[in-house]
Formats: sequence, structure tokens, C-alpha cells
Amino acid sequence: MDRLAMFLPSVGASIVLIVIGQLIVPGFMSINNISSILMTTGLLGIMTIAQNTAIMSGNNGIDLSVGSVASLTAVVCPLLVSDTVGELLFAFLVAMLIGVAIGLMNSVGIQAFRIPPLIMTLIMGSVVDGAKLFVTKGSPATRISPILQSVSDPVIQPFRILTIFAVIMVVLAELMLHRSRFGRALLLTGDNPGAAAICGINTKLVGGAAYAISGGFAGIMGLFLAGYAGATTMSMGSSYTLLSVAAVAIGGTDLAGGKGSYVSCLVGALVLTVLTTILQALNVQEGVRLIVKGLILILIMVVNIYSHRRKS
Amino acid sequence: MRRPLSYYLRKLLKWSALPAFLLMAASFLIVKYLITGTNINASYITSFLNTNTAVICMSIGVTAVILTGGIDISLGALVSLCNVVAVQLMMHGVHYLPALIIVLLMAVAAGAVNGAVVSYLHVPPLLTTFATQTVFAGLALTVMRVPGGRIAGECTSFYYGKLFGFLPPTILFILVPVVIWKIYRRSPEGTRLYAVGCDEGKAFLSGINVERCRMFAYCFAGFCAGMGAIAYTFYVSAGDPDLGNSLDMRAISAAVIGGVSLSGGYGDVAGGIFGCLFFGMLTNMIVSFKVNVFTQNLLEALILLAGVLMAIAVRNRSMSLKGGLKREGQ
Amino acid sequence: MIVECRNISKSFGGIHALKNASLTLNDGEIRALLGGNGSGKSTLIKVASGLIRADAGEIFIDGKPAKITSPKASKRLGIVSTAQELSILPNLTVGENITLCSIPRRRTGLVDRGAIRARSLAVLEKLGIADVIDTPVGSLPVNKQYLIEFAKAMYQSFDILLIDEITSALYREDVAVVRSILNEYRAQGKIILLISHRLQEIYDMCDSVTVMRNGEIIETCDLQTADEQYLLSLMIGEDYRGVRESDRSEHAGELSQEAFITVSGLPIPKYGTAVDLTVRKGEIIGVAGLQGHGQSDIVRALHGMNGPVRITMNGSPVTIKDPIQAVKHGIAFVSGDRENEGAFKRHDLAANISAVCDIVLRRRLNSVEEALRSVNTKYDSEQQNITSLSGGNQQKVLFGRWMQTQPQLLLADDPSKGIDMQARGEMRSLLYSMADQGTAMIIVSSDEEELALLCADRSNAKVIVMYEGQIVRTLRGAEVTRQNITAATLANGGKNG
Repeated sequence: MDRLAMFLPSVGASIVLIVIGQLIVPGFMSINNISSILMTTGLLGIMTIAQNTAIMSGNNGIDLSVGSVASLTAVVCPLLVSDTVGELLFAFLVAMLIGVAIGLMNSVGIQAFRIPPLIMTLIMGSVVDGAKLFVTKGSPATRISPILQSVSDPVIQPFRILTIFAVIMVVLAELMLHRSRFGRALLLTGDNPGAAAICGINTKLVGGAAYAISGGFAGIMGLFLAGYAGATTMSMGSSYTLLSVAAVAIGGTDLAGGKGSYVSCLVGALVLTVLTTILQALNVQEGVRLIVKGLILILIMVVNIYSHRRKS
Repeated sequence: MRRPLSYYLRKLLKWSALPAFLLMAASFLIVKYLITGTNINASYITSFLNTNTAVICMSIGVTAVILTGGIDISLGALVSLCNVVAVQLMMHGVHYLPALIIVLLMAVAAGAVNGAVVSYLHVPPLLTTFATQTVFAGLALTVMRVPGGRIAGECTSFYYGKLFGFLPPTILFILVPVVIWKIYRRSPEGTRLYAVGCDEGKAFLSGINVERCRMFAYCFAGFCAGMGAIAYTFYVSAGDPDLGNSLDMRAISAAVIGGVSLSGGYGDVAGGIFGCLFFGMLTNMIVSFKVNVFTQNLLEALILLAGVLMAIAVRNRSMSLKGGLKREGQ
Repeated sequence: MIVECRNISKSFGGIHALKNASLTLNDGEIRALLGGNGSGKSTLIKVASGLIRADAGEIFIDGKPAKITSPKASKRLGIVSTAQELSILPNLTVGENITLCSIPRRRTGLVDRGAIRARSLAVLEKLGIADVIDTPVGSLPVNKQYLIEFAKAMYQSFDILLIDEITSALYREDVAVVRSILNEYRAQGKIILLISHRLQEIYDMCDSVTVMRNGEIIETCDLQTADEQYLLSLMIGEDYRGVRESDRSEHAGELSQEAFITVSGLPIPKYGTAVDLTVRKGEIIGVAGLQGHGQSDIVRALHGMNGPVRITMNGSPVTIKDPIQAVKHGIAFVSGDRENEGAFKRHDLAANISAVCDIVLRRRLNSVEEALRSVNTKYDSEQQNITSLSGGNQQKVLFGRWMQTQPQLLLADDPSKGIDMQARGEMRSLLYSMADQGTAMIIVSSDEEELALLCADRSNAKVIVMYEGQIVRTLRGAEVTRQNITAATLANGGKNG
């Protein structure tokens, strides 16, 4: 019952926004538009898997480096793909490993040096940005191979390859959360680290793994992002950091840790994507778009915090 | 009362800003003696301060916020916003004096928004300022789409002139926030702010108005950002909506290296100032290595990371020795 | 002056902490507030001091309604309280802490540091601890920290003083000083309300006592005429003697002779001492002592919480590096600090009770329902959040969590803190049945009464008493009485060699 309640705000908000979209923007409900919205949602959804894991791990968990990690893999990994599926899979593996490596560095800082996650991941994000510029000397991968771009190909409209992969990953993540020992240990650690340690849970390992997972999914997302966009720019992934936090908050995850749902975050991603699409269709200038995004984020936060405070 | 030398020595070692001070001194010496081609004269100091005033002001403001146990990553965007508003006002014929007053009031109001959302809507400071950062950046872009514009000539000539014959006027923009802070710190409300930062619940039990202390910290941070923005505006004589983007990291890292505890209640603004001076000289050092700009960037970020790691590790150790009740990250 | 609480009610979620509590206090009175856990006494004090807002009811001072909306407002009305969990701050000096509620200022508006020092010295001198003025607060021993908390209250001008459980952390000398100061306040016509669970102190310090139970005020008695048994029966709601006999198990338990776990040189860091201990299978060892004399260190160290410890288990040497290894070796740890070390507040009963078994030991519970019933938990559904249960029931779930692991060694650090009499009796029975099945246990408790109930007259139980990091006394069989235990915890009482 309680789990269902987590979904209601985001599902409700999606429906409201879609209705508004249909009213304001002509052709909103076209198959193509919906397909595109779902694909972008899937993209953001992969990022929310990363962010949700970090936030649920507790200890004021958050991963502000996910955007930078995605930008890094977006500009670097496409180089590994020329034309075979094998190379594509390999590139994804490398992207994931890069993300995991960065995530592990975050873990070391957070677990071993006891640096608050917000500071550690914030600084790590800068370091990763610097590394990205250093490695690419300012010029990103110039050519995205067609096979990478095919992630945006439709399978059965309105579902595209990327969308389906994203949904599968989210569902698998949700199953892992509730069915696997690690997932349950993660929730307990995020809920009450002191109690979890006494119970014999290796909280350092669990907390550390959370950021490795976060980094890994951010890395994967970066490569998908490159394929989706068909071209790469230096800071492609940066806006996704904020969006992933917003989506996780809409998804009803307790920002203090210990409670959340990946599927709910995916719905949260849907809400945000619909919102962004409407804003883009209205042709507002970038400044106004940023203002609206920021205000909506505050609103989402307030609702999220309020609903969790009411429970305690 | 006569106290032995060892008493003062022990007090010095416990000074939270000591590591930052030493780093600053060391980097100063390295730049002065080891880096060829630098002549540390008055004009060097002036130009050094001119470049760094904005980030120094930001670090003063962010220290106040961190002392309450919060954080503010919106100050960089606020600096950009103040900058473009000042330029636009002056370009539209507003006299510089009221224009600057308006900008300062706006900066304090922006800080008040942060403070209000944190204190009354109970949104965590990181997420709040994450959101307001976007809002301020968006407002800056709306006010001025691309960099450009110009400001009143009096401002430029004031800034590039001399105070009392030898001081760079940019010092004023740093001194005013510092003086305000020092007075506040020595007032009863200052003690209360430190109490709030250490343990909000216990401060509340002691009859302290927690929200009021927080509001001051965030408004003061906004004011500092405003002062830094005005200084920077005078410096470049133009507006740039993206200028503050990278300054947040520096300001916060400088404060952390300066000894402020991220959980609140410990530290002071002096450390942050030393931290900024250290970073400023560090940049000069790295530039002199004559590597490409990307390597410079990466080096700076890595040193930032190392500095913060060390500062927090030192902080944790001294907290557990003092028998303090809290550690970073808890 | 008359202070009246009329029909104060307060609920937290589904738990009724206060039900129509009404109380009258007159000036020049020291009233005790007595009751078990869930009695509402702490809640009542929190309402009066502005920390909590009551759902219904009002407080009247001299007939006028008092609007107590925050601690600040309550202080303005002349009500000052001490906090059970201390409100002093480690980042401020002793003087700053004492004067925090009304910081002296100069004419310029800045803080008057000289006045802070002088005035706080005056208060500290009254308490006889003027020497701590320059000590960092964080390095003070617990009893002095509580005295500073009291000093903080003394510094403020009040008509009404609410003391929430201060004496449990104080030494005997400190309590005497506090008593004389309270007597002075009484002579000045102030009203004092004191929460304590120590009947002896209540009789020493107070004139009258109000007994509460289950959120209701039961009765107010004059301490000259009411005796201990009567007060206890008011607190429990049934004949006290009855409860005592009913939880005695049939078999007093037999003690195996061979050592199960031996540890030598277990360090007590605060005192720089080390302790040797031997535990047998099925043995119940109660550990008593004044707060902070090393008892907690023993159980925490054995659970690997204070760094690696070397023990001998069943004859072979074992190193316990951390709680992870402790659990794998069949050690369990029940903490009295539910908030930080026990309850997973965002999880339901099923997750809470199966936490250790499920995740660490990889043994799925056969039935969550069975597990919950085995500790007599009162609940509606396995899926309900643990915070919807009362404190006592929550503690039972946590207890059940460890019982399910079928531990070889059960360690507990004040597990019955804040638990009502009924629940305590039930937990005692559980401990007896576990001991009968061979579980060894070391139970630390700050409640000497509780230890006496647990360990008296049993061949498989004993009480060891810690003083300043050393075991100074071991009591067995008929020797185990509350008086003997209490006496042994003090340096000068009892037979300490």
C-alpha cells in the first residue's frame, strides 16, 4: 500500500502534464512525439538508476558527478565503435567500467576519508570534467558510428531500442533492490547505518558499492546519450545531473536514504521529460527554461520532503 | 594573567585556519622565489586581488552558510546575475550609485530566498541551492543573453585608482563583508549561530531562534556574492551571464581547506580567505608551467581534491582528539 | 503561584502519549514525576517546556492561560527545563554554554566576555566545580556535563524548574549538591518538577510525587505517607509482588562448568584498564556500575565495535575484528539506543525482525509471524512500519531480531532502557528461556533494580559491578539485591578491596 502511494504523485503529474501538452502544443500526442518522449525518458531513466542508488544509500547520499561521467563516456567511448555489434557491446562495457572506476574513487573519498557525498561527488565531477578536456584536448569524438546511433531506432512504435533497454534495466534494478541481499542491505544501510553495522552488515562495502553502481550506470547512459544525439559536444551530460535528482525526488525516494523505488523514479523521469518537451515546444528562450526548471525542482523538493515528514 | 609560551603555541596549533595559512604562505614563497619572471610588486598584488576578489567574497559568504551546517552552491550564479543586472541598469541610464544599491538589495533578497526555502520549507540546503542556482543562472541569461555591455566610467576609474594613495580599491569589497562578519560574530547572535551549526536541536532547546540565524547566514552570503559581483563588474567593465559558473567549487573548497567544518559549528572566514589566496597563487604557479590549458584545468581540479581530502582528514582527526561529538559526513 | 495543567493530551501517530493529564503545582514545592516507560512523564515536561505542542488541553499560570509555543516562549513565561539528552554544545566554552540562553552584552551590543566568565564561575562555584571553567566541554566526564546542564538552568531566572532525569548520570556527591540547591529554590518559593526513576532519590529530594501510567495521571501522593510498594503498585497497575513471582521460571537453570568464552585484557580505554572475563554456556552475567565506568565497553568490544578483540571460544582462539565477524560467530548485540543502533524506521516489522538472519546469516525466517509472536509483540500487520509501535514493542521486535539468530552469546547495552514494567518482565522470561537453551549472555544495565530481578537467586546468574574500569565485585545468589548492587557501584560503599 505504501509503495503504491509513492507512485501516485508522479503518475498523476504525468497525466496532468500530458493533457496540458496536448492543449498547448499541436501534435503533442502524435506517435512520433510520444516515441521521442519515451526515448528521452528512457535516457533520463538510466541516469535515475544511478542517482537513486546513491541517494538511497543514505549518509546524505547524492551523486553530483553523474553528468560529468556521462559527458566523459559520451565523448570518448564512441571511438571504440565502428560497425559491429560486438564493438558496440564492448564500448558499453568500457563505458560502464569507466563509470565504475570513477564511482569507486567517490566511494574511497566517502567511506575512507569520510568526505560528505555532496562535496566528494561535486569535486569529482570537476576532476572528471578536467580529465575529459585533457584526454580529448578539447575536441570530442567526431563521428558516431551508425550502429551506435541505431539505439534510437524504433522496435515497435512508440517504443525504440533505447526505451526498451532503459525499461528493462529499471525493472531489473527494482528486482535487485527487493529480491537480492545486496539490495535489502542497501536499504537498511541507508535507513540506519549504525543499526546496520551492528547487525553485521558491511556498511562500508554497501555504501561504496552504491557509488560504483551509480558511476557505472552514468557511464552507460553517456554512451546511449551519444548514440541518441548522433553527435557529441563537450558538456552533453551536465544537465542530466540536476534532472536525475529531480526525477528521483518526484519518484518519492526519501532523500535521507533507506527508501525508494527505481520504477517510481522512471515515472518521475517521464514527468520531467514531458515538462521539458512542453517548454521546448513553446520555444521559450534558454534563460526562461532554466528558471522554470529551477522553480519546478524546488516545488518537487518541497512536496517530497513534506510527504516524508508527514510520515514520521 | 601570565601564560606560558606553550599555552599560546597550543592555541596556535588548534587554530582551524592554520593549514590554509601555511599553504598560502608556502605558495607565496614558491611564487616569489622559485617561479622566475614574477615580480611581487604593488601592481602584481593589485592585479592578483582584482582577479580573485569575487571568489574571496563568495568564500566569506559560503563560510557563514557552512557554519550553520548548510551549503550554498548558488553563489556563483548569483554573482553572474548581479553582474548582468548592474551592467544592464547602467546601460539603461540608471546612475551607478542607485544601480549598485539595487544590485546589493537583490543579492540579499536572493540569499533570503535560499534561507527561507531551507528554514521554512525544510528543503535540504544542497538541493535548495542546486535549484536556485538554475533559477539565478536562468535569470542572468534572460537579463543578458550574451556577454557585453559597458558600465559607468566613474566606476572603472575608481576601481583602477588608488585608495588613500596606495591601497587597491578592490580591498574595500573584501573588507566590508569581513568587518560585518567580525561584528556579527562578536555579538550574541554570532554565538547563537555557532550553536545552531553545532547542533540545531540543542540550540532550539536553549531558546535560540534557529531560523533567524540561518536567514542571516544566507542573506549575508547573498550580500557577499553581491559585493564580489560589483567588484568583478568594475574589473571587467562588462557583463557576462556565465561568469560565476566555475567559482562555486573554488569558494567552497577554499572554505573547507580554510578549516570550516562541513557539519557546522567550527571554523571562521579567515581560513576561507587564506584558501582563496592559496588557490590564486596555485593558478599562477600552474600557468607558469607552460602546459596546455586542459592540463592546467585538470591539475587544478586534482589539487583541489587533494586539498579538500587533507583538510577533512585533519578535521576528523582533531575532532576525535578533542572528544568532539560529531565527525564530517555524519 | 499556582501552575495548572488541565486535560493535556498528545498523540504521536497512533500512540497516546498523554491522555487528559491534569496536574497542579504550588509554589515552594518540589514534586516528583514518577512512572514507567510510556507513562507520559517526559512528554508532559516537553509540552511544558515548549518542545512539543499539545493536541488538547492548556497550561495555566496563576489562572492565566500560558501560550507555550517554543522553548523560547516557555522561558519567557518563567519555565526553565533541563534536557534529558543534554543541551550543551561542544563547540562553545563552558561559560558560553551556561549563559547561552541570555548572553550578557556590553553597551556596544557585543558579547561581554568578562561577564560570561564571572557569572558562570559564580554558578559553577555553587556546584563546587569551578575548576572546569576552562575545560573543553567535549572532554568533560558525563556527570560534569550534566552538572553544567544544571548550571545552565540555574543561570536563567525562573519560577518553574523542570528537571528531566538528571540524577541518573550524577555521582552521589553531585546529587547532594543538587539537592541542597533545590532546597534553596524551594525556600524561595519556586516550583520544581523532577523526573527520576530512582525511588530513593525521590524520597530524599522531593515533597510529593505524581505517579503516571499509560499517559494518564494516576495519583499525587505526599511522600511522607506513601511507601515504595504503594507507589510501585500505582506505576504498574497491579500488585507489584504478583509480577515479581510470575516471571520466575520453574527451572532456576543449571550452570555448565566449562568455559565457553574467555577474554583477557579487554581494554577499557577511558580508564586505561583491562578486564578479564569468563562466560559459560547458559550463564547470565549482569553488569552494573555508574554510568560510563566501562560496562558498555565490555559488551561493545565483544561485538567488535571498539576494534579487534581476541577471545577464546570453546578452547580455540578467535579474533573478532568488527561486528560482521561477531555476528558470524554467533554473537548478538541488543542496544538500548533504538534510534541510532536499533530500529530501521523506514522499514516494516518483517524487514526489521529478519534483518540479521536474512541478510547477514542468509537464513530466511520460517515465519515472520512466529518470530513476532515469540517475543509477544502487539501488532496489526507484518507490513506496518516499526515506528507505529510503542517503544516497548519496538524493543521487543529488535530483541526478536537477535533471538532469531539463535546466538551463542547475547550482549546487551541497557536493553530495557525506557521500557515499561510489563515488557521488561516479558523480556526477562525470554532471556531465561534462551539461557536454558545454552545461550550465554552479558547484560549491561543502568537499572540496578532490573539486574536484581534478573539475576537474583539463580545458579546460572551473577552480577559483576564495574567501578572506574575494573570489576570490583561479583554477586551471586542471595547476595544479588538492589541495595548490594548499588552499594558496590560506589567507591566507599560495599566491600570494595
